[in-house]
Amino acid sequence: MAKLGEFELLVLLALLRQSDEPYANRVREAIEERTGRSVARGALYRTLDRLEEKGLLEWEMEPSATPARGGHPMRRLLVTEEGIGAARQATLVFRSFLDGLDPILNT
Amino acid sequence: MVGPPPRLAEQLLRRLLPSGPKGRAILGDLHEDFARKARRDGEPAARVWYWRQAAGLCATRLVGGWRTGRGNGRGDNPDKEGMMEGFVRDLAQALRSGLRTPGATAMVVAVLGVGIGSSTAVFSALQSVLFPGYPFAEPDRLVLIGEAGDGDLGRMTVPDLQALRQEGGGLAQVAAYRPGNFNLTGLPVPERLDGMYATGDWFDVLGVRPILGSGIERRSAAPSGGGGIVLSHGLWTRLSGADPGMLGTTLTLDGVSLTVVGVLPESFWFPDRIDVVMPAELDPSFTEPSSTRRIYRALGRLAQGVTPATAGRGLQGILDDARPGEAPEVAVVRLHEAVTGNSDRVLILLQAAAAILLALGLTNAAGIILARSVGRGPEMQVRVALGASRGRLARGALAEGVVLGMLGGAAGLGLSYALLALLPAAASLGLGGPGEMEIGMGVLGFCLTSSVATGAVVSVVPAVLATRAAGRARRAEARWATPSGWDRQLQHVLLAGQVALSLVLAVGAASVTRSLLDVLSHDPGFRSEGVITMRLSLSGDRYGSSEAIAAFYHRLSDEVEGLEGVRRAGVTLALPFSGTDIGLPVEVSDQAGGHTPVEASFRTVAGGYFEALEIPLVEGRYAFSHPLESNAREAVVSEALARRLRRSPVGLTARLDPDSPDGFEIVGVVGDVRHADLTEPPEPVIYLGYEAYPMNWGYLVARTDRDPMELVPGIRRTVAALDAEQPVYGVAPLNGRVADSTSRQRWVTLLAGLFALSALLIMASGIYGVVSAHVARLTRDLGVRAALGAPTSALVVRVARGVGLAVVAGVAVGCLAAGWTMDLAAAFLYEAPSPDAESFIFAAAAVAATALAAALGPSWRATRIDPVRVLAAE
Repeated sequence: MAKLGEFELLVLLALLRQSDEPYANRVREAIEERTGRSVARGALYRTLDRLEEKGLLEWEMEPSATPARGGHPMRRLLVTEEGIGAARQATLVFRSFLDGLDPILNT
Repeated sequence: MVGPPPRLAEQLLRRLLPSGPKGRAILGDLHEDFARKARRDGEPAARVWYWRQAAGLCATRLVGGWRTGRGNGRGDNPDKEGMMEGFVRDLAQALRSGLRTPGATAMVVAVLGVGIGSSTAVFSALQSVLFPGYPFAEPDRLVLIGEAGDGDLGRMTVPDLQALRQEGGGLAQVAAYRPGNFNLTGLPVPERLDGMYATGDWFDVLGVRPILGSGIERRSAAPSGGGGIVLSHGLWTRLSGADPGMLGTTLTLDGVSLTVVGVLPESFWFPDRIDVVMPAELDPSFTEPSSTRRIYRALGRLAQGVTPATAGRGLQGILDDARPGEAPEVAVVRLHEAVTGNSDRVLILLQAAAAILLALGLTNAAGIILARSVGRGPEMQVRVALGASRGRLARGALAEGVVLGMLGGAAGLGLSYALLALLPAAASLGLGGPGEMEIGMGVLGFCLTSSVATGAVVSVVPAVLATRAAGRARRAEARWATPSGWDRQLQHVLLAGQVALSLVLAVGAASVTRSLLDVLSHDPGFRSEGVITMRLSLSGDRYGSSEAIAAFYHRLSDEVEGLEGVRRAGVTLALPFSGTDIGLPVEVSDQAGGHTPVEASFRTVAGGYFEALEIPLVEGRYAFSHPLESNAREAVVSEALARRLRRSPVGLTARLDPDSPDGFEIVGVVGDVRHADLTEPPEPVIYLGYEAYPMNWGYLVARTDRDPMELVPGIRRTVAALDAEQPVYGVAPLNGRVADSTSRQRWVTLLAGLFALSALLIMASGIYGVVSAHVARLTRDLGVRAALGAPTSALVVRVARGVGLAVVAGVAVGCLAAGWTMDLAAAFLYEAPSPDAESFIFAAAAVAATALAAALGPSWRATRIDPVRVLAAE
């Protein structure tokens, strides 16, 4: 199972939440909205490439849905089964670290 | 409605992003966010935002190692790395590696930048002088024809010219022209125009078509008086605001009404910017030609395939046939040679200096890169041991060299733009005509290529050598290696070369500075501060006699002296530092019948000219201050003329025409005045009253205690009140004219000084870098020696010995090279400064002191090495 970095995990989770509009711009907005941090465009595309290389992500082209894109196509991003598995694995590790910390973290 | 994103940024992204659908999708994402941003914050903010996004993406793509995969996402393997992409990756790696050592990188970039920038600027300036953009068709076929003389091409008599015009002799066409000046009147303020008398076919020969109307008419037969003139684009714009309706209107030039028949293109110049072209048929000296007055020049267009020499032989044959035995010798010179012939001397010196600076920059950068590469020898060996191929390492080193060269080139480009912007005084340098100074792309290409090539070569060689050694060397051996081989010797040779080149530039700068100081130390013979000067040229029927002209100038002087703030005012025919001069043979005779012929400069004067310029009275009295009848019979001479006579000239008689019974009684002697420039020795001068000689033009001078420019409006009003038809032009403070005469030298000195300073800085950085690297690599060696009790001085000697020898060798070679360069310059440049011992000593001392200062810092560090820490580190 492929190992995930923190930002890679965030991207995968954001993508899974955006099942209606799984596009790079929406993923970036979702991460920015939830983390309150701005996401560098280059870092996002580089991470998408890396996830693709690890086989956790696939994509297919769609024609532009809005004139605001200047006629450029859109890339529909799809998390593969392996991607879902890797996200699950990473989340489990994360959860196991949280076990017993509730009194300290007040969660 | 939102407009598209910045096109240039988008094009940049198109080039750098993956070219497949992935790249297009990324562009779309940006496009979408741009539209949203524009709606929310406005389009200007969105454009700035887009540029920032594009820059960020490009940086990530280049530096961050962002992959260039172009797959369709469905299980494709990442693209195999191609040769070019691999090199791009190497470039990014090199950029990152450069950023890890910002100091050394900045040093190489600055050094290359200074070398490339200054040489590109000077080479470009030279190119725009040697190859100006001519506004003519096929300019290489244009030739000037005149009588052969000692230097400049002589003018010709009109009958000779007409003979050439009719026959041709190897020339497709021949036109005649001469420069002329005209008073434009009938306007609220009259103007003085620079112009040209030309025959009707002049425009055909040049291959220039007016942008409006026609050229001047071709009227070889039976001219009917009056005529049409062609205006320059500048005059047309100034007079009418570029109104095409100006065609067909009339202008009054020198009292004659002329019709505007055409307007020249804006780019037109010949042989300088001119305002108006008049038909030669309006020039009495063309229509009623004299067989002795040589005032016209011929402009010809060579027939296809004919050389100037062949055409010259043909034309000579025509004249020999027309006037057997007495035909003048004809010379045919390409227009290009005539335009650039005298303007390039200073630039050749500057070009040589720039070439030296470029060589210095390249040598220095080579030294720094070499030191870095050698220092990384162990790293190379480790990488070879880990399996990196020699080609791979060489490619990485090549990329580093290329990146450094490119960064240096970019810095140089910026610098050369700045330098060319700082060269607007190019005209005063005598850098030739109206050609614009632009960066020569060929020149820039050469400088960039040489910098990239230098970077590449000096990076690759050590890398290859290091990998060759890797097979044999053990890492431990490499770490313990002290610099003793070819690399250190090469560094010292490079260093000696830098010292020698810097010394050549320093000697040149010291020599030109010294010669400038020599020039500035000369006294012009008058006080130029607080004097305003301007020109007048009286035209019209009222000024037909010398009495009328003198009366006008006396009245003008009186009226101007009546203006508030004016202390004295006067008029002279030829003002010092104005470029105007007239020489005449003078014969001075005493009552006993002795005659002394003297070649003297000749000036007519009216009003308080001597007092206004504060030219001192040496003997006798001033004259011509008031409109007296005696002015026509008196003369004042300069001290230089008095010296030629070897006795007091007061009371003697001067004659301009030895046969004339009337002479001028010399009533006073005034101080010598330098006329052409500060270096030329003062010549004998004879001053006469305007009453004695019918000269209609003159310079008005007025002295004030205020800013002299404040007087100009009042003086213009005074002239207009006396005669509204007379233009006032060429207004300039006298000290400005004197300063202009040295501006060329001041510029050369400034540039030479800048070059020398840059050279010293580059050399200092080179020495600093080499000594620093040397100390770093000798740390263990020095630590052990210090631990064994070596004195500090021995450590310094060990560090600085090689560098010291290199500096001494560099100074010796540099002195020889400087002497040789100065001799070479003196051999073919008449204005080259003569080298002197003081300049050599000063320059050598400056170079040696700079070298010492640069070596001092790192040498001092060598003495502070703590042996305990060095040994503990092992």
